[in-house]
Amino acid sequence: MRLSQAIHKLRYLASLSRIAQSLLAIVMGFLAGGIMLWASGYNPLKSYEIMFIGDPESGVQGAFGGYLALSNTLREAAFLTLTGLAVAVSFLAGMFNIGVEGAMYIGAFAAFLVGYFISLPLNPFTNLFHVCLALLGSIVAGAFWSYIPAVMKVKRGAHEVVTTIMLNYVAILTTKMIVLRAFLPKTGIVPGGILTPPISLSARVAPIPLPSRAELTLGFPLAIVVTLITYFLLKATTLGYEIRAVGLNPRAAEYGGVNVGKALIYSMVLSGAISGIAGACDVLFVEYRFNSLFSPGYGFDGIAVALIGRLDPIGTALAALFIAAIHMGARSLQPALGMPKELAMAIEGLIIIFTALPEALNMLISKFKGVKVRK
Amino acid sequence: MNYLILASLLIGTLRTSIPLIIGAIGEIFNERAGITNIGIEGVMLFGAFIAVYGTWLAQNPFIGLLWALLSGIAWGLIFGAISTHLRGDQIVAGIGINVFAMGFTEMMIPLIWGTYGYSESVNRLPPLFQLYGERISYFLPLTVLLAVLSSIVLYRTKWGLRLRSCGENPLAADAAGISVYKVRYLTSVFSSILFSLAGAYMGIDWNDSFVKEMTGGRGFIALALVIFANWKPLLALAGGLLFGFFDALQFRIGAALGVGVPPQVPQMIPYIATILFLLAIGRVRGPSAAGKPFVKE
Repeated sequence: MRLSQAIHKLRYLASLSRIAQSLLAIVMGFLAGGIMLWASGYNPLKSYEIMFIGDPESGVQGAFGGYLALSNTLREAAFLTLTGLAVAVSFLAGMFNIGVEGAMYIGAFAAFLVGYFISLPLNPFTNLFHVCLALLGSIVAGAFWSYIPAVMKVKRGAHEVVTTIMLNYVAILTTKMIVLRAFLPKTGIVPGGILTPPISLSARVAPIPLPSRAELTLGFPLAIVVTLITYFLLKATTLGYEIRAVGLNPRAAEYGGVNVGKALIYSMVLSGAISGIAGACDVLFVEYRFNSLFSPGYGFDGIAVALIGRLDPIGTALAALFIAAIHMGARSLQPALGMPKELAMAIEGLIIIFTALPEALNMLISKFKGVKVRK
Repeated sequence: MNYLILASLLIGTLRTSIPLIIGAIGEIFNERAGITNIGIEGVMLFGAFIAVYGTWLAQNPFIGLLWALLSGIAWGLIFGAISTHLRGDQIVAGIGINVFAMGFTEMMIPLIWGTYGYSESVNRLPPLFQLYGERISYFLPLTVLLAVLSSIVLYRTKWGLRLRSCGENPLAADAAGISVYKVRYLTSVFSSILFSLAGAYMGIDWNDSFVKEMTGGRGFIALALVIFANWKPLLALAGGLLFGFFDALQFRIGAALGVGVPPQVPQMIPYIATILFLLAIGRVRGPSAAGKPFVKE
């Protein structure tokens, strides 16, 4: 009884230090970001205040500074939760999958095709059916796209970092090419990308209105559902167990009877399916069309999100909310101070670097603890 | 006329292969010493940016080159620390460097030049000579020299032997009295200098300005080239020309194919070619200790 209690306590402490590691990585990222801001001539504290709360002088809302800003943060968080989960599922198996961005484009394009070429009479039932069909299309397309580098890795040993990056370029260029070829007279070319014509009314889901012009897109509840499903898949199924076992130690897993290649492929297929849903969210819930440059790099943000969340589905969802706040905050810095929004990406990169250093962070944590004990 | 297209394709191949070869040779040194740095793309992008910025400030491309050199040293020390004393996860850290460089350089463009996505034009490095109106860069003979010297240093000198022993069996190297950490720090600095200079070449020699994400995945193509070259510098030189050919093809083939072909098709060529090369090579074994932290007992 006492032994099991001790083990329980140890586990609790270990998980606590993992959370502490993530928090410390975030703090270090912000410190380094603050130095960057300071070096570029901005007041770091003031900048961070504008990012998260807002600037009363210019009337800019920070990420949590009002209903409208909050709803934007939640919309962003939905994308980041999904791409974060997609990254986490593959990283857990030990696949360094950088291809979420590409799979997301393929998924979005599939959702657009289903939404555009099928047109159903408008009633709630057909609406639900059509949206589910489009989501299914995006899941299948995304899963297929991520299946390619997985098979290349398992059958030919092709380095997944290289193949997934290359396939990102192929995905983005291919969808752009098809949009330009097939929809040319009807495309809208804007600085943000090339737009297809809109999808059928029956494939759209309007956002839920909230006070003061804010609205909640369906992406956020959907992301929560996907988080819970992923959590269940990873923690309560044999497949999830095998994926985690392969990631921890492929040789031991193989010795224990796990088919390593199969686990790798399933983890990538799962990752691609979730990436596909992320892409569909933009087409079905936000833009109602395919935009050849719709993603500002959600697939790459997903890496930071998953790592801050320590590859845990719930942790990933929380990290997504946080990174979304940085994104929306950085977007309010641009009008308020003239600081480009790419600051968010730079801070994210720093946070990723710091999460790569658990031992160094542990040393820091134990130093802090040591100081307290001496006092 | 056809000869001219061929000549321009060949010169284009030489031009595009330079950053790939330099990047790959840097990474060969890294992995041979037991470091896996997939942040090549990021350090390259940073080098291109800092070289253009330095050139713009001083109105002198050689100052820009010097800045890129210093930036390479800094990144090399950082990654050296990550892969030794800090015992970090090198793949994750490399991804972080790429994300940081992408965000940071794009953020700095408007702060410095007031424009979005591209910088002002700056003075280029002087060319070695002109051929058919095309610039031939000093980097070309230097790259060949680098490949030859690297091969000699790695396989014909005691330093090369020590370096390789740190990548194959650091415990044995340590027992033989080699300071694994010192070797890895020095290697990391040297290779990051190479990545950074490859970026500087793209910023102030091949082009005359900084454009966001201008490295366009070439750092990752260099990573593929390392595997293709089986971790050998001379094979990286040969393979780099092959990879560079497909990279150059995207700029030239559009004109040859005519207006009927969408421009995205040639743009995809280098990426698809890289994947096909990796598939053709199949499963290979690199230095055993590459990417693994070394903990002295």
